[in-house]
Amino acid sequence: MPFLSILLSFKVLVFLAAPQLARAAPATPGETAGQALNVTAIGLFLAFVAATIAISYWASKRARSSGDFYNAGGNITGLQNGAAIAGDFMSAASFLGITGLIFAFGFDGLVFALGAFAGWPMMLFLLAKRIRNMGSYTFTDVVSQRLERTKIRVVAIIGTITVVIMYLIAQMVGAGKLIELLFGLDYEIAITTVSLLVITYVTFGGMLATTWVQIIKAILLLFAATAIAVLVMHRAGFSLDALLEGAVVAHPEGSVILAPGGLFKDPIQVATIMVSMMFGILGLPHILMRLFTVPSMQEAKKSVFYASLFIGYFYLLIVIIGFGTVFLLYTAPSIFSDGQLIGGGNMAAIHLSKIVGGDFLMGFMSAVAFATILAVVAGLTVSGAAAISHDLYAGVICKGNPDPVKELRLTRITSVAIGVIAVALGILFQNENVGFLATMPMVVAASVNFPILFFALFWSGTTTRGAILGAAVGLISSIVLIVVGPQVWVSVLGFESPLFPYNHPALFTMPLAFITMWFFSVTDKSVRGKLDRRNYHDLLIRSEYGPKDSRLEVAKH
Amino acid sequence: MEKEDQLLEAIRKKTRLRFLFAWVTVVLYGSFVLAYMEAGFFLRETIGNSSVTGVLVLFWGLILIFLLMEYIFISVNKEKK
Repeated sequence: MPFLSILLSFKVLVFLAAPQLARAAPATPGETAGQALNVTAIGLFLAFVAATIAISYWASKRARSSGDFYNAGGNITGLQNGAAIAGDFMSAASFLGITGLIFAFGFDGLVFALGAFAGWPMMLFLLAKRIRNMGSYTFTDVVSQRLERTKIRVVAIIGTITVVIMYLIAQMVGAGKLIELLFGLDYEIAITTVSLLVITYVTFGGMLATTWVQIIKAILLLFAATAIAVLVMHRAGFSLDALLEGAVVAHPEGSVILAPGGLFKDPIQVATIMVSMMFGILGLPHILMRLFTVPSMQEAKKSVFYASLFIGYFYLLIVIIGFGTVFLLYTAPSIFSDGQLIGGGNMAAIHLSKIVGGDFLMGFMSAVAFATILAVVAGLTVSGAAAISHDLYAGVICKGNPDPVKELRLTRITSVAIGVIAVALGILFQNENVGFLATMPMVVAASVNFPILFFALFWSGTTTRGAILGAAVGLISSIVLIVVGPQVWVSVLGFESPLFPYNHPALFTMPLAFITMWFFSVTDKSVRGKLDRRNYHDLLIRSEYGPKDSRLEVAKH
Repeated sequence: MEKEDQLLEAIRKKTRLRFLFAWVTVVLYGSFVLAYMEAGFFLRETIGNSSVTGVLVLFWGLILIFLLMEYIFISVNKEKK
């Protein structure tokens, strides 16, 4: 079972380490056959579904315009949005995957946890306020305020759709396999169920329903993680030292698990992961979109801070839960089959929940994992729908003057289409390496979306030509280096050794995109280039002080 | 025109502050890689007689420091406003 489902919403985390985890915890009969039906899990899951469908019904009464659909009318508070961002970002994969990595390799699993967290302070320092002030629904709005509207929108849409689709595939494949394991459902039924529920949330309730699904999921996940951590500490006499000592005694590798090196030996390899994670977060369209759901820039900043608090707290707990799996699982022979953990390494947290909390806590965790998947896929679906109906239809095809009724109808149709496509892609890619699938969106987001946004917001010299060529180089180089890297070249295509040694090439492709943008901007002597540079002045004031001054409302296109 | 110059100067200050916080974050974040290098051997050692290693403290410390930095950043900007 692969492992990092884009954390990013850190789901990516789990999938990033898939090959390593696979080595540590190969598939077992339990994994392929799925688990026995867990009545508690199914009962709690049905309760969650009933509550979220009721929310969708309530939200559908309030979603009357495209604005309601894309950003919940901009009426979400900072605290609510922070919880929703955390719910969108903390995936089942990050929870199960990072825990599984610590169970197998010890400390090195935390590289992904730190990477998943560190993007949030950067989001606050660099982007939150300026993006909130510059856009209306998507990050494409932000960059098209200054650069040539049609061309840059098309580029940003490509970046958005690439990230959303890749993220969606990884989520759907990971979801299908996870649900197969947790609930004993067939893969196809599992992903179809996910898709139908998400279509219901998004089509009827739009961003408002999605927000509340994410908030509920975040609360459930944090509650479950807290409960497990407290119960683990109880087993260790509420002594961190005793917990770590117990983990060292239980793990076959001994004290090595408390220090780096169990999974990664090369500092550059660690740096590639950390760069991909930190800057990938800054380019995730479904996360950036959440900044527009609040009424003001102050609330946008607050929401990022609250999200950081929730996510930081979650990853602090992960240390206890991760080493708790080492402490308690290696000494429980009933959860091993032929020397391997039943269900594979990703099930470590689920087994731990059963050991410390019995069937009820295990059922609760399984239901939370399912809820997590729904919340993440719902966020992706809204983002993908906005890219097509708002960015492409309204922004490019209708030149910013769409028929509102048609736009809303198209948004809903697109949501359904994305749901159907997600099922099709989930089935099509079900045998692919999820690690590969989950790597791409973070790397692409860091190498395409983030450079465009950063230069558009912070460098006066940026021109449309530079931005387009830089984005193209970022996209092509990241895809090429991923394909010739170990995960695809060796694990998927079967070659003996990779042409490029790292799985997460953003450390190289992101600077390449920036350099290309810089070079083709400074050498751009066109009339459009001059206008792009002049637009920066207006953009700068608006980005810091908001659009109240009507003179600055629209840049000179 | 004068008012606009003042606005731009204020924005330049804010931007410098943004980059200062961002650079500190990146440098602190990058320090984590030190644990995988020869120079970071001390981070792999346990602290005193406990089982807690330096790099575990670094992990917790970075998360807490980043949160503190966010709080300071928001507070500083509030004051200036």
